[in-house]
Amino acid sequence: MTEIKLFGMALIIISAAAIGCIFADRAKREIKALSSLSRCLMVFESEIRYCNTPLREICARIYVSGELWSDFFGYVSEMLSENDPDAGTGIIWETGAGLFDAPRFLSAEDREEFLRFGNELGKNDRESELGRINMYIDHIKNRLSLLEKNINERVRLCRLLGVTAGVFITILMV
Amino acid sequence: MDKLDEICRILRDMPGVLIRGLDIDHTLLQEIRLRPFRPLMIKYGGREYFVSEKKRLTENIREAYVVNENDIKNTFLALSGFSTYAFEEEMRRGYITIAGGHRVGIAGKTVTADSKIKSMKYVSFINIRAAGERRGCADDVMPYLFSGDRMMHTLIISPPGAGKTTLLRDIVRQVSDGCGVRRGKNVGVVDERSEIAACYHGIPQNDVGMRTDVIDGCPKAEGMMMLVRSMSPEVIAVDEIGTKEDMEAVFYAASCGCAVIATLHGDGIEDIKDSTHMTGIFGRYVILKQDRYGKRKISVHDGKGMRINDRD
Repeated sequence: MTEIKLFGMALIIISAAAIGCIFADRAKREIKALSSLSRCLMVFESEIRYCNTPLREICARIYVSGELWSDFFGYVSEMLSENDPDAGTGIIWETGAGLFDAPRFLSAEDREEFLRFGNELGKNDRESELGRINMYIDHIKNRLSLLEKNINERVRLCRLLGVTAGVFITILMV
Repeated sequence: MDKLDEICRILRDMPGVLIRGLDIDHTLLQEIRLRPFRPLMIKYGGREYFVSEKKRLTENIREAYVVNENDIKNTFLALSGFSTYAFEEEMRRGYITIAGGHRVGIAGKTVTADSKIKSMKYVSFINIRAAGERRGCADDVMPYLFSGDRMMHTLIISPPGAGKTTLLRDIVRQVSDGCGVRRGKNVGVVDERSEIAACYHGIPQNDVGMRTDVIDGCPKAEGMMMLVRSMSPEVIAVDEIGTKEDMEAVFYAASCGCAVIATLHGDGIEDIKDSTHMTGIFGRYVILKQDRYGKRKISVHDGKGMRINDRD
């Protein structure tokens, strides 16, 4: 009986610790996703500034770049090529955000900002478009510096909280 | 993909649904016009019709579908491939060429800086003109444009809307592919307004022949120089010349051994007689005119102005 109890306690603690690790990993992935998004936006910026490349082609270029967001932008490019009469950029962007991993790594606040950016993309003149992209890049940079500053503590905290929660639940159950 | 499919790819919302649903002969479709809070109109077989909500052509304005702001806004976004910024130059010129070579004219509020059009916002009027190639329309003219195997410098003169560009396009195609016993020649086309080849993403949508290189959206004078230097054409075709710079480029191309085919707005040879920079180079003048019934008349003249073809 005692062995089973001990085995159960160990399982609870290990599971809780694993959940803590998952949260820690998610924090790291959020940073990776934002850095990758920032690089993709730089491609947008340079393609629009120097080549006036349409969105569909920019997305196709990012698709082959091997970035974390490649699949998402591949989807956007494909949907824009199909020219579905019922879908605008906003709808395509939002649908894509629900289909692929990279957008899921973003926090709710960042995700909302990302969707807002996509909804307005391609509707303005060149200067406005570049202004919006640069502003969004700056926003991401600020978010990244904030996240990177706290990432070690956040990871440690997630792991520690996982183990602590496991121990706490075990004590409660015993 | 047929003409209507190509056009319907850019039509959004109700206008798209209605035009797609029309049971018409697509080859006779000429124009589709969208104006805010005005009936959806099409020009079909030379006549103007309204499009009803029952997906039928009608002449009764009460049955007509009335276009709203969103129809135009969404159609314009689709037209630009959801990349308005990428079409600023075209917006400045007032038209965008889409796949199939169809031309979409736009009008709205222009943004100006230093008395020059910088861009256009609030695009509110859209006119989709279906492209219509007329293969073979130059058949009667071709025999007069050659001296032996040598192509003569040719100037096509006509008032607007009489078919200069259509004729030029067919001449280019026939010179490039070869016609009758004549071998095909390398042709360079300077298509400043994308009217001759109607390039879409750099690919000609109209048949301009197998030996034709097109430089699209480039100012005529610069384009001619570039073609001569880079593509070694035997013939250079250019639409609507007029300025001194254009003529200097024509002389340059001619001095490099290229035959030049060009078009010019006017009523006849008399219109260019006063223009010293226009005379002296062309060996053939093709004059296009339309009679009051809309029938086209073509006369071909030699370099001295003597008519050399015997029928219109």
